[in-house]
Amino acid sequence: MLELPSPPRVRLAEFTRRYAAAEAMARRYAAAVQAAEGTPEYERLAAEWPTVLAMLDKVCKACEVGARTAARAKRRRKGSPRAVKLHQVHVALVALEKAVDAAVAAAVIALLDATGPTASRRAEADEWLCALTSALNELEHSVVWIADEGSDP
Amino acid sequence: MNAEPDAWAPALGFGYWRVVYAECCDAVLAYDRIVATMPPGAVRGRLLELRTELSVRLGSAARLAELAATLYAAWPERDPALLELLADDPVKDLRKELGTGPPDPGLREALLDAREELWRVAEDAARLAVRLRENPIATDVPTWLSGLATGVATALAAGTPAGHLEDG
Repeated sequence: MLELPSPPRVRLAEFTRRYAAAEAMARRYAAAVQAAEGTPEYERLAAEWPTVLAMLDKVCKACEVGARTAARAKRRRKGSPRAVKLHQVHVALVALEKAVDAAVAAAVIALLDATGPTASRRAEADEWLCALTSALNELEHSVVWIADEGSDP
Repeated sequence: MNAEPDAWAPALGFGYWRVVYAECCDAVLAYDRIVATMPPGAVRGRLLELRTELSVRLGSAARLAELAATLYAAWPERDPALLELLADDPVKDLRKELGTGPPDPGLREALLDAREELWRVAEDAARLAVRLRENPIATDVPTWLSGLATGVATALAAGTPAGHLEDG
């Protein structure tokens, strides 16, 4: 199931660590889906996996654009094109982290619910799944914004 | 990870989850040592029978610990590398956008419960062994044994996640 996009072929310079962080988040999401296997929440978590992969791909492209922009803008000052690109990628990372947090929480509840003696916590899991959808929407908007800007040469 | 969990050879790893799992193993090791001190007989035989069930509980604790180590690798913090990047943001410190740590809706608690249950069983076994040593003809041994078996049953009834990680 874990089919991460090919890593960027261009040199990402300072954006390498940003892309690596996004990839680590995607791996954590995949682990959460795997942990929820056999529970009612599995289908919903697995259904969002392609979205996570698509977002990771877009973050990758944003990093490529950022690296090109940074190479042109030598100076590290606030408001420079490089700073703007860094900030945009960071905002996307925050949104992705929130999405993965929500997925992990839903998976943990589903797992404990399915196997433990405690009362059902489906409602709580549903709340986390809603948080996941919301975070992915937020992420989608932030990366679309980056990609739109990044489409220029 | 298909082999039976062995308290004498805990899984490799490090960090918070490794420590808690090691403490679960310590409880089972303590149980083994207590049983080893007891004279051969029916009571010791019964404790050896219960040991098999402790292995099952230890196995579920191992799976919980592995899962936790995968999902919350830097517990109780977030990934320090990510926090460093967000702190380095040129516009503002984005670390504040995330909570202090990743939300855990009960995985840590489930593992700590497992540890507590295993220790309770080990302590009950120790009390039983001491009582037998002090009074080899004690008549209330069946009651103590029954209490011990109940403790083991409670431990087993607690969360026993299926072996998801075994399939991975």
